[in-house]
Amino acid sequence: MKWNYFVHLVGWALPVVVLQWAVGWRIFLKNARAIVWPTLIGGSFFTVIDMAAVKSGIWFFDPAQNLGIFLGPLPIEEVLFFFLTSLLVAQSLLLFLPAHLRR
Amino acid sequence: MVNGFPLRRCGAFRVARVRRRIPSGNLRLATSLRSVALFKMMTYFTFHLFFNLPALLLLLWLTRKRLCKAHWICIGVVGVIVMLAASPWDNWAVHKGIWGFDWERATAIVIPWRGVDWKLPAEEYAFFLIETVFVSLVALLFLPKPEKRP
Repeated sequence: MKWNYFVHLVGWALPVVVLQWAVGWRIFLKNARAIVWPTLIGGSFFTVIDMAAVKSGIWFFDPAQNLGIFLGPLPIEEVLFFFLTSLLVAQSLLLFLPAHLRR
Repeated sequence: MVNGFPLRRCGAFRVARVRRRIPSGNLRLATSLRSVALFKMMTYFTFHLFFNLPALLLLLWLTRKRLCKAHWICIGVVGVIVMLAASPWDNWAVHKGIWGFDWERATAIVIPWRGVDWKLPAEEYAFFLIETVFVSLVALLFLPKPEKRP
């Protein structure tokens, strides 16, 4: 039960990350900066504003369905979510960009 | 020092100082209580308005010289995929109760399908696209500029 959020997140995002690396690893290595920075900036920004929303009570988490490790008001899975989804968006964009708009 | 003011005179002056500070202190308390109340009243929509909209405007300004039509097409394609991938995933999590929303402060979109009322805020769907645009615009800052703006 307490692994629900973690499994729901990693089971959904990780296979896509692996698949994208299998297809586009050359592009990703050449454009590493366009993956690392958006992931760090997006992940941090959404983590911070998410804290405000959770503190305010707009959304909330079932304490029985996460691991109980918290960063402020956020379960660690929620923080991981924002970094993983930012990573997915940055990698997806690179895979679709025409060659002259990337390295 | 009395109440943070250097005590240069005594008597009436000091009393007046102290009296004047009482209403201003109360006012400050009232102001902070009101901002706490505003914070508790923040809806999912005003959350986007206060936090995500300024960030997107800033990023649009930062990328103004490099954004071209091809970028928007790619961001659009990624946006469609994000919507298709995240909507069922998020609906399922809310259905399982992993997370939930204060429906007084979010606009519910209910999709009845296979005997279940799948329920997610309209603002959550918007968030999928907001995050897509946000992350893509940050990525553009670390990618080569297009030669010519079409």
